[in-house]
Amino acid sequence: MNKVEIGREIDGVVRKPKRQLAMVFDLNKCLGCHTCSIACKQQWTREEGQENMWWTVVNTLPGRGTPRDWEDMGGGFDAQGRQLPSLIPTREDFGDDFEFNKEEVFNGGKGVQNYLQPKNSRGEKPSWSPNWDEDQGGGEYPNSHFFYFPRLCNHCTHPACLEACPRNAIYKREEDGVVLVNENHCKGYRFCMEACPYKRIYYNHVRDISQKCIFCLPRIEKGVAPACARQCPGRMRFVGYLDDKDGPIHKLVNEWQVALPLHEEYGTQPNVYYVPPMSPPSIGPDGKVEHSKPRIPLEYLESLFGPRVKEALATIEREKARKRNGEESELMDALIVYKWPDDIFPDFVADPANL
Amino acid sequence: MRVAQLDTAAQAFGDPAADIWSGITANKVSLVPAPVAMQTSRYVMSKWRDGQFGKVSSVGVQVLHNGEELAIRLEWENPQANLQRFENNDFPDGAAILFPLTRHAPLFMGAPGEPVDIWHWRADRPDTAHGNLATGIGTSSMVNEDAAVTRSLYRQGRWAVVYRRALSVQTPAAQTVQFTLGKPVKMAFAVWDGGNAERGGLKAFSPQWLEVTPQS
Repeated sequence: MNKVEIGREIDGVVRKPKRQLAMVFDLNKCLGCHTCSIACKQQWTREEGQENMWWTVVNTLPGRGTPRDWEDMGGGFDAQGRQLPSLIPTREDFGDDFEFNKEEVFNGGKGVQNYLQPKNSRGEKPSWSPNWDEDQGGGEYPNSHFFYFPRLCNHCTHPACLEACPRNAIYKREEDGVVLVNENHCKGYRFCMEACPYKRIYYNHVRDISQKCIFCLPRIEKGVAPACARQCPGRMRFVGYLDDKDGPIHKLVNEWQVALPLHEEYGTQPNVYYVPPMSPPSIGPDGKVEHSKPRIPLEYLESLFGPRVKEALATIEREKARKRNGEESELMDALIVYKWPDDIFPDFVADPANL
Repeated sequence: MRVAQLDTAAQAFGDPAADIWSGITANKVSLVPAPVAMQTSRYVMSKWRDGQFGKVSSVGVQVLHNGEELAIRLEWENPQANLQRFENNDFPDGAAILFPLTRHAPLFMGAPGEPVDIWHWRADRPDTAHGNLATGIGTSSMVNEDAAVTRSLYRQGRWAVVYRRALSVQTPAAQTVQFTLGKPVKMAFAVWDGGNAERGGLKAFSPQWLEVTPQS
């Protein structure tokens, strides 16, 4: 398929691969433990030049994110499908590779006079990192609130990175829709980093190439779930094919419609979906509980997941009530994940220890 | 352009500041920005549609040979030297010489079945020019890390780069240019201003061939 056709609607049909792998993250179950990020880091980004790469990262929302203020950077497509200009986030925006004065503090006898302090790769005091604003969130006491928000490459149906690459070094696999950078073909021009509105592509300055999440392709091809999903202690990362009617992805995205794409307005048709966070009620100025007003403002969630948030949350609340009343709820059972790993990534249950 | 044979050791002309170059005629070759319409990325076409790139308007080209090696010296104006490639938005300055490998290979990066050989020097790896083969815009592929020995010098707002290579090399003729005494060779040039985030198709290039004949 020509790169300017992928994901675009031509003669009334969206040109997309035969199948599409997708993930659903249940934000109500994310602990913010970063085990996903560490699992990914251990597996894929330990080489020189990858020091500050976090192909998957967990941010606190409301917050400025990784890279810092990425939602204000542009990129993606407008309503007419035209690519929107953007910029390349800096190392400092992403959060740099820190060096600490461990030697001085721990072994240099200066532990009393000095304290442990990081320096970025320019030797300066850092101004940002992936979790700089962790647990800060938004709102005023007693209505302060936050939730954890894992992010990674969305393996978009209409990838802005792929269309922006002048060398056709980015491709989308026909068999599963995974978007990959061909490292042999990439020349490190970084137009992909500019065009991606989610800013999930990193630059490897040692190899002079762009790198990003590969959906743990070597694992997927052996029936093993991606490292981030397999290692998730909260069991909140569902993985599967969007068209698998018996799988959790299809059920959560298409049947129950409780899993929503992030910033659909960016026009890239992302394939990572989020079950929006429920929140406790607000407390009014008189100290009384305001049951009709959720602590996390609906407008805020709508700014991330669009107008369908309200309905998704209502569905979850309704099904939760059923369960509470002792009734059956297929949706609640799916979100709870009684049988792991079968219920969370049914096509990728092989144990990586047996590879 | 005819290039007379000099009776000089190669070391004498490998340095862009070497005295010998002051006696060699410099051809001023005009450059223009690579056309926006020929960019192979809609993103690039959209973001750079105002054509704010490829502003280096000419490159001085000097050529000499000593019967064994041929040297090409390029000199152009670039207000600031960009040597780094560490920060995500660092782009080093660069220059390239393009040679057709078939009689009708187009100057625009070749065409299918009509390959071109491109010697690409960049300020972040200043000692060799990478040898690239291309058969169309967006297809260049590095085939040789040491296509030519390069030495560069940045002085008073100008880059000077000397490319040096044996007249003929063992590499199959289909993969690289060969220089034969008395036989004209066509070449074209491109320059990237890294300070303006120029890379790939964002460059200034010479829209006409320069024909060079090394003579005995």
